[in-house]
Amino acid sequence: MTQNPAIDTAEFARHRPVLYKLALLQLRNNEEAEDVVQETLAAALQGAAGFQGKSAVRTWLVGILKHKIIDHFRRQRAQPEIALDGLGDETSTGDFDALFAADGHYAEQPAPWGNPDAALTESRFQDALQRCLDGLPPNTARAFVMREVMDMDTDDICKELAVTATNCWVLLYRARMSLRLCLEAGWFAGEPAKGKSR
Amino acid sequence: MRVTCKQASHLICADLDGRLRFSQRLALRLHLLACAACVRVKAQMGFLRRAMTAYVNQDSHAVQDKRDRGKAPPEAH
Repeated sequence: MTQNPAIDTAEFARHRPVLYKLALLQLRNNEEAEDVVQETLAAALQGAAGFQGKSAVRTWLVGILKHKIIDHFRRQRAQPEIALDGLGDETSTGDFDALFAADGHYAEQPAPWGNPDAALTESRFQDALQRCLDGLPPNTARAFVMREVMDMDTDDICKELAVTATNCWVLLYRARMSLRLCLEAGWFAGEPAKGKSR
Repeated sequence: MRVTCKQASHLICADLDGRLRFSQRLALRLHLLACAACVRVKAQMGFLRRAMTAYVNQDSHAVQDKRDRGKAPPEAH
C-alpha cells in the first residue's frame, strides 16, 4: 500500500487557517486553538496512509479536529479549576422577545434576502459571517459549530458542553436567531446590489 | 395546535436539528402555509447551514487558485 501522494505537510498547511478559525470559535483562546490544530495535523500526518480519499481532505481534517476539541473540553472539565465558561445569560431567549409583538407575530417583517446563495462565494460575505460568528457568546458559538460544521447531533452536543437538553436547544436557537439578524444587518441590508436583486 | 411566529421560530430550529414530533411538524407546516414571514425565516435559517459549509471550505478556493492555477477548482458542495 502506497501513501496517498496528495496528503503531505504542504497539503495540510493549506487547511491550517480554516482549522484554526474553527478551533478559535470554539475555544476562544489563541494558544489552545493553536494546540488543538497542531494535534490535529500531527494525527492527520500519522494517519495519512489510512486516508482513503472518500471524503475531501478538508472534511477529513475537520473530523479529526472535532475529536481533538472534544478531548480538550473533557480535559478541561476534569480540571475543575479551569472550568468552561458558565452559561451566563446564554440560556435565555428573552433578548429576542422584541422581535415579536404581544400576539407572537413578527413586530417587523423579516427582510427578504433575495438569492442569498450568490453571496457564498464572495470573500467579503465570508468576512461578514466571521464578524457575526465572533460576536456570538462562547457556548452559543460552540454549540452552533458543533451542530453545523462538526455535524454532531444535539444529544452529543449537550453531553460535550455538559448542559441540559433544553439549554442546548436554546444555544442553537440563539445562534441561529443572532446570526440571521447579524447577517441581515451586516450584509443583506447593506448590499443593495446583492441582497435585493431579484 | 395553532402556533405563533415566535413558536414557529423555535419549531424551525428544532426541525433543523431533527427533533420535531409529528404533531409539531404538522403544526409548523400549517403555519408556514399561511405565513410568509416564517417561510422567509425558515429559508434564512436553512441558508445558515449552507453558509457554514461554504465557510469551512472557503480558503481552499483562494489558496488553490494561486497554487494550482489551471486546474479545475474544487466543486463547491
